[in-house]
Amino acid sequence: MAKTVMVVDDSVSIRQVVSVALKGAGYNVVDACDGQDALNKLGGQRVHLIISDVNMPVMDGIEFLKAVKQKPEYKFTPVIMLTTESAEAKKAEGQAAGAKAWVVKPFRPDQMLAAVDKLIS
Amino acid sequence: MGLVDQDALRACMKTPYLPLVIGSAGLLLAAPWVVGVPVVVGMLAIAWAQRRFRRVVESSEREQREALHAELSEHWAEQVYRPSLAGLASDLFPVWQRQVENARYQTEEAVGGLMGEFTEMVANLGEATEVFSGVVTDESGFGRLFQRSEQRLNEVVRRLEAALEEQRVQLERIEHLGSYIKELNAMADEVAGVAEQTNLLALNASIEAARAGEQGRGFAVVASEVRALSQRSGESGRSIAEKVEEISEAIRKACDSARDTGEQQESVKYSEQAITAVLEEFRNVAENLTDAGRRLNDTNGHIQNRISAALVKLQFQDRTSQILCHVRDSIGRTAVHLDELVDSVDVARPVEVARLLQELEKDYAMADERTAHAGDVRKESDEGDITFF
Repeated sequence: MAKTVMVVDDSVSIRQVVSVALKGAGYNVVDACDGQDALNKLGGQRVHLIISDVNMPVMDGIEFLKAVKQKPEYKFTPVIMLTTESAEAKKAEGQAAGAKAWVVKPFRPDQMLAAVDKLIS
Repeated sequence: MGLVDQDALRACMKTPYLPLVIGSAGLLLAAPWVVGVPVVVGMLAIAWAQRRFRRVVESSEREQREALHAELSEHWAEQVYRPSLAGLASDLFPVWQRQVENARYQTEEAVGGLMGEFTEMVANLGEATEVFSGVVTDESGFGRLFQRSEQRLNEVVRRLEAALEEQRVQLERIEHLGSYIKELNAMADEVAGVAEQTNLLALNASIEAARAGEQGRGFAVVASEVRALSQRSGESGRSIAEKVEEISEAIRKACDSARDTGEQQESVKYSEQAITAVLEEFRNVAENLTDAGRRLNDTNGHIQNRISAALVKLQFQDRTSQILCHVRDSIGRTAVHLDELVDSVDVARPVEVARLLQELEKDYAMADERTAHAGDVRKESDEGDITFF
């Protein structure tokens, strides 16, 4: 059975690129346009990995990450932060909040897939 | 404010030494030594008075200018400066914000559409290649069909050849049966000969029995029976000969028929060659298809890589969108600040440029934004940098 990945980004184009790459590799994709939208869509459903932007309106990625990690059912779900932010302080903030990887945009889809495969397996 | 006659003062200022000249002339004409000292004192007093008067006038002018300047400043602040700040905040900055947002939105829409098209193209190309590969290499595809057909047709040829070989063996066996026919005919002749001889013997025995009279009657009966037996043997011999002849005819016909398999062998050989030729043509087509499929696969991979690279480049939209958002928000904050200045009672309150710059810098997410803010233009980005925790 195909595994499910949630993609959270306020940029439609980034969501498209990530979704197509993931679907091409056989994953199911659930997408959301910000942290709050993602929390609403999670709703207890089984998600094997989350890819989230950092700078988003309504609820940013770090806040979303903290909220997700507080939920028992997603406590061990790996989260990849996909962002234009490359400052070390911000990375450390993401790591402290529970992120498993930090990918700086622009990214190559195959790189992203490799990271996803590594964390899901 | 008109405390002194300005024109008189100015005229006086233009000729400051006229009284001194007049006084000096009078002193020379009168008694220089008698009135000299008072005159000199008088002249000095006049000069002092003139200088003092000039200072008073200048002070008065300065006060007037300052008063006028203050009046003008207050007027400028109220009538020009504040309205212009308010105009910046309420008219110009919102236009800038809308134009920035408009550019950001249009770029996002266009690039989003472009990326959607590209990703769709990649998916369609992948599907087409997969379908073609399926036609060539799948279990139900042409390649496998060719392999199965080749196996079946080769099996048909093999069985035909096996059947012909079996026929040849059968023919040899039948021809070998022909060699028994002569022996059977000889045996039948021998049986006929024995029957004839027996018949003659029986006839002679009957004659001898007749000669013996009453005593030879019993022997005559035996001789009669033997004769009847020999006749039946003769008939059996003839019957055997006839059957042997029939069998011989049947074997001859079977052999004749079997010899016709030579033509069948030719037919089988022709069929085999035809099948081989057809299979060869199919093999060529299959190889061409496989080769075309391989090239299509390679081309597909190449195109997918190119499109993938294009998709990476198109992610610039996300970066520029963020930069434009930060500039837009900074313009918004500046407009709010200008509104505060307009509403402030302190006319001399300056625009807090440093604070606005700090707030803008705080918004930055990308290293190149910070670099550009510092006065440089960054050419490279941290593309695809992945850190695992």
